Amino acid sequence: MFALRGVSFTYPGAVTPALGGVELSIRNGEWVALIGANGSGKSTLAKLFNALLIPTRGDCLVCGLKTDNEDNLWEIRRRVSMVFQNPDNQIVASVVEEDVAFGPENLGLPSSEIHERVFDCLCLVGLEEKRRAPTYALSGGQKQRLAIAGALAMQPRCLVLDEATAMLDPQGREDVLKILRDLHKRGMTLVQITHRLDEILDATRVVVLGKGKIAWAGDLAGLFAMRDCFNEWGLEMPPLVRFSRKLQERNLLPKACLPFVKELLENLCP
Amino acid sequence: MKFLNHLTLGQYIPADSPVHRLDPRCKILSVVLLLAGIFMMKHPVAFIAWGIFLLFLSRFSRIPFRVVIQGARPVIILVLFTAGIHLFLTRGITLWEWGPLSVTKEGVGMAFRMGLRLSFLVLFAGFLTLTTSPMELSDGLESLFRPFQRFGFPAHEMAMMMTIALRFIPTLFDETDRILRAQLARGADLDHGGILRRMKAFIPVLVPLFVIVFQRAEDLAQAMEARCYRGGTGRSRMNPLRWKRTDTFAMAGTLVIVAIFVLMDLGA
Amino acid sequence: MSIRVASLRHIYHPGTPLETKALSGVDLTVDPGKWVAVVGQTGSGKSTLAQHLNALLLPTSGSVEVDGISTTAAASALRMVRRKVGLVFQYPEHQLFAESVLEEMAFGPRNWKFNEEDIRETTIRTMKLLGLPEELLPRSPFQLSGGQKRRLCIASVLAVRPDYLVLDEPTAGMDAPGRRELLGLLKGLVKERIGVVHITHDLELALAMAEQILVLEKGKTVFCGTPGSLMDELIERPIRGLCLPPILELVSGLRDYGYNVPFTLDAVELADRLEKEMRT
Ligand SMILES: Nc1ncnc2c1ncn2[C@@H]1O[C@H](COP(=O)(O)OP(=O)(O)OP(=O)(O)O)[C@@H](O)[C@H]1O
Ligand SMILES: Nc1ncnc2c1ncn2[C@@H]1O[C@H](COP(=O)(O)OP(=O)(O)OP(=O)(O)O)[C@@H](O)[C@H]1O
Ligand SMILES: [Mg+2]
Ligand SMILES: [Mg+2]
Repeated sequence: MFALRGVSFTYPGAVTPALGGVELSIRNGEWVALIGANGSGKSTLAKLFNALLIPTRGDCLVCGLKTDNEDNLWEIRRRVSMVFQNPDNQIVASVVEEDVAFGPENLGLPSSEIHERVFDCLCLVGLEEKRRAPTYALSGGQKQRLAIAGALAMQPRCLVLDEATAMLDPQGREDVLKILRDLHKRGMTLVQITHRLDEILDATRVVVLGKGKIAWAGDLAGLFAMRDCFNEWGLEMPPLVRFSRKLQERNLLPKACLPFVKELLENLCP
Repeated sequence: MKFLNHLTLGQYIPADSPVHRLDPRCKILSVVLLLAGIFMMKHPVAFIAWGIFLLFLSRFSRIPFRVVIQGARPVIILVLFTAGIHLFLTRGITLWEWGPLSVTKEGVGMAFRMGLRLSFLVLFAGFLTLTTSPMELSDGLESLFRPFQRFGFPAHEMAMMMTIALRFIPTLFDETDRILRAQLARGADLDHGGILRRMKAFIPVLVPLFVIVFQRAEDLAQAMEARCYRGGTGRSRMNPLRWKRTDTFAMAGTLVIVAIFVLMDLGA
Repeated sequence: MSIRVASLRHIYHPGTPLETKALSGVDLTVDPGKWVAVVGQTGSGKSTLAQHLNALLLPTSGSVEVDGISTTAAASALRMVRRKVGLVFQYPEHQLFAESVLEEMAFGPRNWKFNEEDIRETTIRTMKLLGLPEELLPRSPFQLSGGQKRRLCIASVLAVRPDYLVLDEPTAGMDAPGRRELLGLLKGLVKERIGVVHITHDLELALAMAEQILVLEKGKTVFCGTPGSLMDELIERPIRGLCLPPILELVSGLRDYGYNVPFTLDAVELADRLEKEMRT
C-alpha cells in the first residue's frame, strides 16, 4: 500500500525538518497505529500518505505511484482518504447528504451511483436519518461521523485518521472505533493517529514516531514491553498493562497480558 | 447573551415544500424579478399587496414568518439608517424643526417607502437562502453564468467560493462568539469608553479571529484537495439541475404577479 | 465563601425553532481549595455550566452565587464575579493575540486595573507556577510549542489572582507526559486555596484528580459526590455516556469471582491486594 524510502520533509521556512529519513512500508489490509509525542511529526507523515505534502527528500509510493508526480495525485487521493481532527474544517456543504456527495462528485460519477454511495456511507456511520439535516446543527460526534462518511464515499482502499476522536466523549469514541473495526474486517487499510493507547488495541502494528524519525515499530505486546522509552515517546502505560506485568513478575500470570479485561479475567479466574 | 446565532443569518432551513423543490435557477431568476418589482413600488396599496404575497410565500415554503423576519435582523440598522437619511434630507413642507434638522411631510413618506422597500428586498431575497442549500445555489449560479465563461468569467470558482462562504458563516460567527466570550472572561471591556478605546478593545478579538480564519481556510483547502477536488472540470452532480414543468409555471407565475403589482402601482 | 449553584436552568434561544434546554436543574457547590470535576457526554451542558460560573451566561431560572454575590445582581457585581472566577475555554490557544508573552499575560491584569509594577510581579509569579521560564517574556506567544501555549493561556487567566479557576478540557490534544505535567501544576493551585472546576470527558482522570465529581446528562445532574461513591454507583448501574475505566471493570470482574479486592485506579495497589488474596 505505502512505501516510504528515506523520506524527509521540512516545512517551507522552517529550520529543522519535521520528518527526517523515514523508512516505512504498510501492506494492504493492515491496521497501523501511529503514535508519538506532540510535535513528533505524526500529522506531517499522514499528509504525505495522500500527497497533501510532497517529501522534500526521498520517495513516497502509494500503491506503486510516486506522490511527487502531479499526474498521480488524483489516483492516489481516490485510494487514500483522510479524516482530520477538527470535523468543522472538513465539512464543505451545508447539508449532510451534499457533504458526503462532495467527494464522489469530484470523481465525476453518475448521479445514481453518487446517491447509492451516499446512502451506503451514511448507513455505515449511522447518520441515515440526518440525511437532510443542516451540518451546523450536528453534535460533535455526529460531525466526526459525517467526516468519516465523506471520506468513505470515495471508496478508498485506505483510511488515514488524524486524531479523529480527539473531540469526542467515550461513547462517541467507541462508536468511531466500532466503524473502524467494521472497515478493517472488510479489508480496508487503516492508519490511525491518536494520543490514547486504549484506542489502538485493535491495531495489527504500532509505529512510534519520535522527533521526526521512526523510533520503534512492532506489535502491541512488543510496544508494552518497551516501558523505559514510554516517557520519551510521549506515552503512558495503561494501568492494566502495569497490573498484569506486576502479576507476571510474581508468577501469578503466565504471560504479560495485553490490556484486555476479558483476557485478564480468563487467566485470573479460571 | 448569545451575541449572534444561525437564525439571524438567513441560513438554509431544510424542509419539504414546493418552494424548496424548485430548480435553483428558477428561484434565482424569480428573486431577481421580485426585487425589480419591489424597486418600483410606491403606492401604499402595493405595499399591502407585497406584504400579503410575503406571508403567502412563507406559508408556501413552510418557513415560519418569525424565522424569515429574524433573518433580516442584521440589516435592520441599514434600513433604519437609510430611512433616517431620507427623513431628514428630503425637502418639502416642514412638519417639525430642531436646529439644522427639519422633518418634512415628503421626508416622512420617503423614509417610510425606502424603509419598507429595503426591508422587503431583504425579506424576499432571504427566501432564496432559506429554501435553497448553498450547494444548489452555487450550482444554479454556475449554470446561469456559464454563458459568460467564454469571456473568461470564472463561473465555477465564483460559485464554489460562495458555497463555502455560506457554509462558513455560521462557523465563523460561532468562533467570533467564542473568542468574544473568552476575552470577556479575561476582563475585556468592550462597551465602555470613546470610539478609539473601543476599537482598541477589539484587537484581542480580531487578531485571534484572523489567525483562526486563515488556519481554517488552509485546513479546508487541504480537506477539499484530499477529497479529489480540482476545480469544476470533470465534476459531476449528485442532483443534476433539471428544469421541470413546475419551474416554468413558477417562473410564469412570478412574472404575472410582478406585472400585476407594478401595473396596480402605476394605475393607483 | 464558595460558588453555589442552585437549581440552575438554562435555555438557549427560547421561543425559536432552535430552542435548546441546555441545563435543567443543576446544583453544585465549589469550595476554595477543592477540585471538582464535571463529566458527561457531548452536549450534556458542561460548557454551558462553566460559563454560568463566571456570569458569561445568566440563568434562565435558578441561581449562581459566587462568594455571596449573585450573578443576576447589578452589572458591577457581574464584573466582580468575573474577577473572582477565572474561566479557561476549550483550546484556549485560539485566543492568543498579543505581540509578546508579557503583553498576553498583562491583558487580564490591565483590564482589572492592576498597577504596572504589580503586573510584572504577578506575571512572573504565575508563569513560574505553570512552569514557564521567564526567558519567554519577550517572545511571541505564537512561537511557543503547543503545550507551552496551553500553559500560557491558563497562566494569563491566573494572573488576575482569581479565587476559582474553571477549566474546559484543559488537556485536550496533549500527549501523556504533557498532560501529567499540566495536571500536576494545576494540582498545585489547589494547595494555594484556589477552587478548581475541571471539565473533562475522561472519567479516569476525574476519578484520579477530583474530590468531588458532578455527572451531567442532557442538562440534568445524574450524580454528584466523591469519586469513591461514583465508582460504587457505576458498578451498581451504568450511567449513560460514562464507561467504566478498564481497570475498574477488571476489579468488578475479580470481585464477582470472589476476590475481595478494593475499587482502586492504582494498578500496583490492585496487584498487591490481588496477590495477597490469591495466596490465601
Ligand atoms: N504548517 C507548519 N509550518 C511549519 N512547521 C510546522 C507546520 N506544521 C507542523 N510544523 C512543525 O512540524 C513538526 C511536526 O508537526 P506535526 O504536526 O506533524 O506533529 P504531530 O506529531 O502531529 O503533533 P501533535 O501530536 O501535536 O498533533 C512540529 O515541530 C511542528 O512545529
Ligand atoms: N450558543 C448556543 N446556542 C444554542 N445552543 C447551544 C449553544 N451552546 C450550546 N448549545 C446546546 O446546548 C447543549 C449543551 O451544550 P454544551 O456546549 O454546554 O455541552 P458540553 O457538555 O460542553 O458538550 P461538549 O462535551 O461537546 O463540549 C447542546 O445541546 C448544545 O447543542
Ligand atoms: Mg497532529
Ligand atoms: Mg463543551
